[in-house]
Amino acid sequence: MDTVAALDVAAVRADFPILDQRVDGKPLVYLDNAASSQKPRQVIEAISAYYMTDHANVHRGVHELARRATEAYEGARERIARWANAESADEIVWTRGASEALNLAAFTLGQSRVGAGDEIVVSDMEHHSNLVPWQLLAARNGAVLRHVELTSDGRLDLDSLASLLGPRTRVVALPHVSNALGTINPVARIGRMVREKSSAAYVLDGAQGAPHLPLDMAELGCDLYAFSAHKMCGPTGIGALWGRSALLAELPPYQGGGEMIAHVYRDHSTWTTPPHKFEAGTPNIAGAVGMQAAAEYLDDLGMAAVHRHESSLVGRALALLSEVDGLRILGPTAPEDRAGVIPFVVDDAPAQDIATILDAEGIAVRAGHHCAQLVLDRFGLPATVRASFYLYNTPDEVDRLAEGVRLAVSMLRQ
Amino acid sequence: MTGAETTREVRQAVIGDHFRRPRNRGPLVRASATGQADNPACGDVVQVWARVQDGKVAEATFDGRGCLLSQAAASMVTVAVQGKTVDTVARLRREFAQGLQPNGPGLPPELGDLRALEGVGRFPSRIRCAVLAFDAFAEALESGED
Repeated sequence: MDTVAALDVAAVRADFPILDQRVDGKPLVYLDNAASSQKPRQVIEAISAYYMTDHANVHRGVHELARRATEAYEGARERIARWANAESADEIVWTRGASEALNLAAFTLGQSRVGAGDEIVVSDMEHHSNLVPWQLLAARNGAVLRHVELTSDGRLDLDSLASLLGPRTRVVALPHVSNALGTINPVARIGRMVREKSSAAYVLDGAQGAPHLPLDMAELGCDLYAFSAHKMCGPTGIGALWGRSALLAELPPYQGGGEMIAHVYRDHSTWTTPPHKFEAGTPNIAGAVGMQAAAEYLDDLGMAAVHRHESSLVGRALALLSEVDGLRILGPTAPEDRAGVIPFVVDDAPAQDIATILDAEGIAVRAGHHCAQLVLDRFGLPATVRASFYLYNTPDEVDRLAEGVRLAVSMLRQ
Repeated sequence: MTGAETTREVRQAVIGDHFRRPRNRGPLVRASATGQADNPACGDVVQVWARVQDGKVAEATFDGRGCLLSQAAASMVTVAVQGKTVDTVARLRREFAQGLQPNGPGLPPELGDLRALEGVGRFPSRIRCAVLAFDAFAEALESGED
């Protein structure tokens, strides 16, 4: 029985004012969603309303506006916790985005769990945000980085992972969904492997997972999960790290300042409890309000419906693009194994040039390494073109992408 | 067809020609200077070689991989720097980089086919592709002087 309601894409598009414009006289086709999504009116208006009526600094204030701002900020935390099916709002730490969340994870796990000779397992699928913080930690603490290899169809090689796990493994940090390949990783299964063979903290980069898949923190089986608002219809500059309560209690602070202390003395201080222990300084209150509005927007549509809509676009794109002579799509071949990200290369047609010609057709895609150089190294490519879909994209836009790619290829080969 | 469209088509044809039939491609034996530049964001790599004789570029070659603009520009540069003094190459590189900027002063005739890249200023993210090879040459020649 199919209980997922279909998305009314025309109604969704009407909520996104930015989509209604022309580029070089042609209707904009925005297919750069893996880099950043657009924002619905509901999010823009929530941020605006907060600044128009409720803004003050949060916590400790006795006046009306401080109360309202605090309620908005902490209410947003509760709403995000509910959206992600977390147990409690105390498991949600606000950050500037997924990158800061992963840096927080690497820094604090580095203080509490990773010593010289210990091992950190990452993969060749990482966005640099889930690689470089661990490299920095390894260099700081004398730890060793181990890399899970990829299969030729762009999946994590689970045999390779199994061979890396052991008593020295302190951290396993992997992507929920690959930004460069589109692969949806079997993260729950990996979580069971991690727990059977090690006592490592299991960290997921959810930057590409949270915007596109229904989330349930218990089902994912990880200990820390990082995500950004701006890829899920929310504003830039805000995101969150979800953490298991026991682990968050164990981890030391990330930055020092106001808000994160219990008592301050001349030569030392004591810390407040999570999540505020990790939130030094005046936070991005309006960002939290905007992220809440984004989560509400997505919940109203239903994440399952969002995912199903993207899957149908992916199926159409895979079929149409694979007809282009000399075009090769990276990543898993089955649409159900991938999120709305289609990376491709074309013989004799360099990626940036395809992207430039598509731009002249009003089609926004990205070309380059997508902050995942290890992925391109693995496949021996200098760059790929990446088209990435979201809830407001239409089958017609997929057709225009395919037409644009054909045009670009014929221009570049003539 | 308008004049502007004609100009654009001619430019595209010149760029495409240098990409498909690169001039002076491959390492230069007896090079007196060599250099490399890359653009990690797009994966462009260009390596250049030059033989300087009596203060002038007697031969210049390149090799590399990457986008059409970076490779076509590299081919064009090897032609443009032939017979030029090291100082002239440095000046031309400056004028090329400035001329590519949006609302820039335009490109002088001495740059030859490189003038076909004038429209790149419309795509600021692509300017780096166009200047990559010239940067490699200028730096190779500067460091080759001492």
